[in-house]
Amino acid sequence: MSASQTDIIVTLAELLCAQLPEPVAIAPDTDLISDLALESVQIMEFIVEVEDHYDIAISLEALAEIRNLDQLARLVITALDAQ
Amino acid sequence: MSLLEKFDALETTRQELLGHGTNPTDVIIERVISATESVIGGKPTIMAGTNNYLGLTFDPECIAAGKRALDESGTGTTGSRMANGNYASHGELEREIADFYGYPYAMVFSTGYAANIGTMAALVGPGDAVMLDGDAHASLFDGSKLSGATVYRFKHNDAESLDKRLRRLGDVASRTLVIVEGLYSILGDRAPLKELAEVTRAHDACLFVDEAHSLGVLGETGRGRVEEDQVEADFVVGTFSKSLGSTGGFCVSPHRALTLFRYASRPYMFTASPCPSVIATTRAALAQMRKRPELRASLWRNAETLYSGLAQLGFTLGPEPSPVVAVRMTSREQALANWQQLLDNGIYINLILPPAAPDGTALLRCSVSAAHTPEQIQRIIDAFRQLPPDPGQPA
Repeated sequence: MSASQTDIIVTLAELLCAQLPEPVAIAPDTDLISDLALESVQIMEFIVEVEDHYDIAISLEALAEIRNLDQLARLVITALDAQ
Repeated sequence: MSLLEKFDALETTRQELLGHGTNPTDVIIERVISATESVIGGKPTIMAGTNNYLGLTFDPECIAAGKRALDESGTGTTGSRMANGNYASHGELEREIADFYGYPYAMVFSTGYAANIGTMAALVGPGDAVMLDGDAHASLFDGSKLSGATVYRFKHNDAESLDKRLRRLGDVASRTLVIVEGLYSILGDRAPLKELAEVTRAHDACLFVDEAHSLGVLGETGRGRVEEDQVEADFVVGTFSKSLGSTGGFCVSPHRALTLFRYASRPYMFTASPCPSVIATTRAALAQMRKRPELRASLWRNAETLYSGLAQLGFTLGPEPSPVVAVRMTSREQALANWQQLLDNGIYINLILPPAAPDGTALLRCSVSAAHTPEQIQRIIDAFRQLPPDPGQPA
C-alpha cells in the first residue's frame, strides 16, 4: 500500500466518521454496507463530500464496484491521476 | 436455484412489516367514493396520499369525454404509435400540451415513467454525461442507466455543487444533461430553478425539468416551476397521472430534435400507445385545469391549512408549505405504528421508509387535493393530534 493511499484512507475515514451519528472503528477493508449498515443515501452523501474534498468527479458506475475505503482510495487516486 | 435467493431478503422485510400488524404496500381500495374518499377495510377513508392535486378524477366533463371516446374508438389501440396505435387524438393532445407550455414541440408517452426514461435514453448515450439532483426520482436514475451515459450526482437543490461538478467534467460538460424536478415528491420542496438554469447555461449543458408534481400546482397558469421561476428549460417532462387524474406522460421542448425522438426512444417505440379514453380524459382535464384557476387556489388553501395545522401540533415537517406535506418520524417503528393508527382512524396517507426518504429518515407523506373539504383537512389534523407522543421529541 503506497503512503499516499494510506493518507487517503485516513482522510476518507475522517470524512465518513463526520457523517455518522456516533464514532465507529473503520478499517480499510470494512464493508460499508454489510459491516457499517450504511444506507445508500448515506453512501451517496459521503461520496459527495469525498468529491468536494479532492475536487474530483466519481460516477455512479464507478461507485457500484466500491465496497470499502481501500477500494474507494484507489478510485480517488485514479481520478486524481486523470486530472 | 440461486437466481431466486435474492428474494429471501425481500420476504424477510415483508414478514417484518406483517409482524407490525400492517403492510402498507398491500392496502386494497375496495370502492372509490369520490376524488378524496374511498372504502378501505370496509369503512370510508379520507384519501390524503393520492397525488390527485386538482381533484379531477370525478370531474363530470372528464368522465363524459372518456365515455364518448370508449363508444367512438373502443377500449384500446392494440399497438404502438409507430405502427397501428397512432390516433388523431394522440396528436391533438400533443398540440394542446405544446400550446399550454408555449413550446413548439411535444411528445406523449404511455406513462410518466416512460416519458422520463424515453426522453433521457433518446437524448444521451455513451460518451455523454447525466448530472442528477441527489433527490431525483427513481425513474430518472433508471433513465440514466438505460441511456448508457456516465452518471454523476450533485447535492440536492445546490447550484454551487452543480457548478463544481460541471466544471470537473471539462469538455464533457457541454454533452451533459442536468436533471432536476420542479417540486420534489417526497419532501415537497421546490428546486431553485433559476440558479440551476444559470449554472447549466454557463457550462453549455442541457436542462431537463421533471414537473410531475408541479404541473397544475405551481406557476400562475399551472405550468409548474418553469413558469414560477420564468425559466425556459430544454426539456420539460411530466405526467398526466397526478393533477390531470389520468395516466400517461409528456415531454415538451423548444428544440426541433424532439420530433426525431419518435425514432430514437425505445420506451416510446416499443409499447402500446395510450387508450383513446385515457387521451380523452387527459385532454378534458387539461382544458379544466386551464379554465379553472380556482382549483389551484383551493389546493394551496388546503395545503397551507394542513401544513400550519401539523406544524402547530409540533410535528417536524418538510422545508416549506406545499401540497406535499412530509411529517418526519423518529424511527421506522414509530412511522409504521402511526401510519396504521391513521388508517384505522380513516385517514390514508403514504408511508416512506428508508432508503426511499431523501435523508434516510422515515416519513409520513400527505398529499393534498383541491377537492378536500375544510372538514376533511380538519379531520386529518385531528387524526395526527391523536397519535401517541413522539419519544424522540421533547414534550
